[in-house]
Amino acid sequence: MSAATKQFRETEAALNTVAAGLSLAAMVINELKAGSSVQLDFVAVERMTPSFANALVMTILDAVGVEVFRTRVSIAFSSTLVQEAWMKAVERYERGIRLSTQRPGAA
Amino acid sequence: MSRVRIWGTDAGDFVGGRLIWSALKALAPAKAQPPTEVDLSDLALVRPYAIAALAAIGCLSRRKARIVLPLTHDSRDYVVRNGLLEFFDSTDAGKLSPSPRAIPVRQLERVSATFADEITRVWESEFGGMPGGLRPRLADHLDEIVRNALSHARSPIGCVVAAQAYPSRSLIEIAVLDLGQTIRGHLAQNPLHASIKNDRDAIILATGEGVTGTRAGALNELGEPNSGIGLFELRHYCESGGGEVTIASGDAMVTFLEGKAPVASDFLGGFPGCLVAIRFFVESGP
Repeated sequence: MSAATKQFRETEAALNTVAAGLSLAAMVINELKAGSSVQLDFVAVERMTPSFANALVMTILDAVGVEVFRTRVSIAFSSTLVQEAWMKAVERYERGIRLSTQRPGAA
Repeated sequence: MSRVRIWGTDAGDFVGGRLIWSALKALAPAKAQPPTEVDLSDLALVRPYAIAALAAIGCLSRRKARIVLPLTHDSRDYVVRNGLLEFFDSTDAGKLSPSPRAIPVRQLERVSATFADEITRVWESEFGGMPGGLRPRLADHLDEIVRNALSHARSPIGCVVAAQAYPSRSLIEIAVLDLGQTIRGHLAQNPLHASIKNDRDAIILATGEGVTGTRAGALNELGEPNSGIGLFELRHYCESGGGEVTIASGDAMVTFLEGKAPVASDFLGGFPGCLVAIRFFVESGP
C-alpha cells in the first residue's frame, strides 16, 4: 500500500446504524480532500445494512464526486452481504437516489 | 375500570383475514383510553402480531393494567413464555417464569445496534443452523424495520417486537408494531407525497425504492438523513421468495408475497399506527 493510501479497518461484525455510516464517511472525505486514497477494510464485517451503506457511500459520493470515488476509494471484504450492500448503494446513487439531505430542494 | 376482552383462535392468515381481530381492534380505543384490565380468558392460539398488540396495550397502560390469563394451559404457557406478563400487572407473575428458549416480546424506544443480532442468533439456534448468509440478512431486515418505526412513526410507545421461530414449518414470524402517525401520516409530510389519497396507496408507495416522508433537506426523528430503502428491500426480498410481509396502517392492510400483485384489503376501524408482520421462510441446516 502506498504512503498516500489511508486505511480504515472496521472491527464490528454488524455495521447497522446511520450514525456510524456518517461518521466513517466524514473521516474518509477528510482524507480524500487531503489528496489521499482510502481503503476501507470490511474483512471482519459480517453484515452492512442498506441504511449504513447509503449513509456512507452517498455522503462520500456527494462530497467528492464519482470520479474521485471510483479512482481513490477501495474496499476489502469477506462477506458477500457487505459487497452487495456497498454495490447497491453506489448503483442507487448513480440512478439518482439520494439521502433526504441531498435531494433537490435541500438547503 | 375499563376492561378489554381479547379472544379467538389465530391462524395468522393476513390474506384470508383469519386473525385475532379483537387484539388488533383493541389498539385504537386503548390508545385513546388505556384499559385497566385485559381479559385473555378465551384466547386460544396466538401468533407474534397478536402478542405485539397485547404488549402495546400493556405499554399504553404503563404496565399497570391487570391481565387475566387464558384458561387453556397451552395458551397460558405461550403468553407467559413470550414475556407478556412483563407488560401487565399480574398476580401470577411470581409463579410463572418464561422459558429460556423463548424470544420475549420487547419494547424498543431507541435504536439498538445489537438487538437484531441477538434475536436472529436465537432463531439460528432454534433451527440448528441456517443456510450461509441467511441469519445476517434477516438481521439486516429487522434492523431496518425497527429503525423505520423509531425514526418515522412518532409513536408514544416506540415500537414493540414479537417473534416466533417454527423450525418444523421452516418459518419465522416477526411483528414490529408502533402506535404512531401511520405511514400515510408520515409520507404526507413530504410535499412530494402530499397527494396520497388513501392508506392503501400510502403503504404501497412506501415500499417503493427511495420513497420517504422525510422532506428534502430534512432529518428524521433520530436526527439522521433517510434514503427510503428499508421497506423496499424487505418487500423485494419477500417477493423474491424469501417470505411474506403484511403492512397494516390506517384503514388498509397490504400483503406482499412471491408471484402475486400486492393483496390489499380494508382495515375496518383503522390501525392506529403501523404493523409490519413478516414471515421469513427458512431452510433448516447450515
